[in-house]
Amino acid sequence: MDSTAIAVVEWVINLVRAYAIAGLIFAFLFVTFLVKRVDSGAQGWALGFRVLIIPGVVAFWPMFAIRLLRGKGHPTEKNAHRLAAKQSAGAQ
Amino acid sequence: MGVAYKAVQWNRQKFVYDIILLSTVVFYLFCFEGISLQFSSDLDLKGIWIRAFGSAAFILLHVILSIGPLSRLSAKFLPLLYNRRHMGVTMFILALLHARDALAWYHDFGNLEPIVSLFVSNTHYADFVRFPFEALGGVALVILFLMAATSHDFWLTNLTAPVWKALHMGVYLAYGLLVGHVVLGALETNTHPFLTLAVGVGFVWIVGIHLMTSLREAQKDGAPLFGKPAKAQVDADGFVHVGSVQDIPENRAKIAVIAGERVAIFKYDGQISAISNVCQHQNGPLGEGKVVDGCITCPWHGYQYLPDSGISPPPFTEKIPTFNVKLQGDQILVSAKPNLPGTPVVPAVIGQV
Repeated sequence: MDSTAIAVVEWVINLVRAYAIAGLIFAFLFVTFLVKRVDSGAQGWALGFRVLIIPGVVAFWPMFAIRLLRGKGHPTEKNAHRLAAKQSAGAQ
Repeated sequence: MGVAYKAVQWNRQKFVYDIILLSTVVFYLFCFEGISLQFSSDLDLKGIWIRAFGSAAFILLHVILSIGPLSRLSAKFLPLLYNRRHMGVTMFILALLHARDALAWYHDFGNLEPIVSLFVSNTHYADFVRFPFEALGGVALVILFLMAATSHDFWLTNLTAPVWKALHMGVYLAYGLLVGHVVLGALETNTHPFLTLAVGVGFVWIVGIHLMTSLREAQKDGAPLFGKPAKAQVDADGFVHVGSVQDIPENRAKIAVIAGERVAIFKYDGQISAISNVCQHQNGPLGEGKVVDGCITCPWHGYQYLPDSGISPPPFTEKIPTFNVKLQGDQILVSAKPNLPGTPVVPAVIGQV
């Protein structure tokens, strides 16, 4: 087997593992203490909901880390009508 | 969302949906095992279950990909759309079981970790026929994981619907990769013409039904299938003529493209109101819904909005852009500029001069 290919694949897999472990630690803290800061819909303890979002938080943890550091909540969607409405409201 | 998140907002329909879904999957898996043992007694049971999980996931993916276009073609399929995310998560779990068992069965016998062995045991990445089909399945599984992991409404709010939808459009990439995975993997080892025919028919069906829906949507919008649609004709007052009051059935809408997006123009209680056609939940087509209990109701998941303000009734907090409307006789004119989401607009009263 190609030793370079093995080394590259091992390196990539270890990188993914490190990202996932950091994400798992972050996700535990996030769903336990921090989720309400970014989304007011996370009311009460709702254990099932909190457990259910862990895999996604592990995958997208940098997004929530940045949002928390900036003290921001969840964004509002942008589409053609919302952008046009904002633009015409700004022009008035 | 204005209400607290729950793991699943259970109701009777979701229970029935899930029971039918899970019992069909279990029935298929055991049928697959029984038939495989009947016709190929030399096959190992573990090998049969790897194939059973893989084929179940692949078939379910075809069903999932068919629901969207079928619902666009006929409202009869909307109940299937209602809880499609549970189907998607079930499909991911089946694919994961297939990958887990295949990894243990084919790659857990050397001095390399199975996951490393998966990517290096076949390095013919430049060869079409001998291309490592396992890698295609691996990448598809990552996409399916991201979709399953972000299926809760929490992700719609936190990624926003357009980003969420773009992420979930990855299912088409996953499907392409999985067709490659099956063609270069299962069909290379099992050359029975029925399998090749089944995969071919499935592919033609998925491409065909999407093409048919796109053509119909483009026809409805009066837009070419490829290239930019023609801009709406705006009069001197900044209004667009969208048709006659008689074009719209009671409590239903007519859809027109204004300001780069579809607008839903509803007729209800002798009045006309116009709002953005894009539901804030999953960007569902509001104009294909109807007015129920005084609220515009999205045909996809039942999210509701007041026609004259675009605001969801309490305790919900969604808001969508509204449009000023006026009537000239029975002709409807809609402003070319949307109002900010949740802006109240006086409806145009039919028959009032």
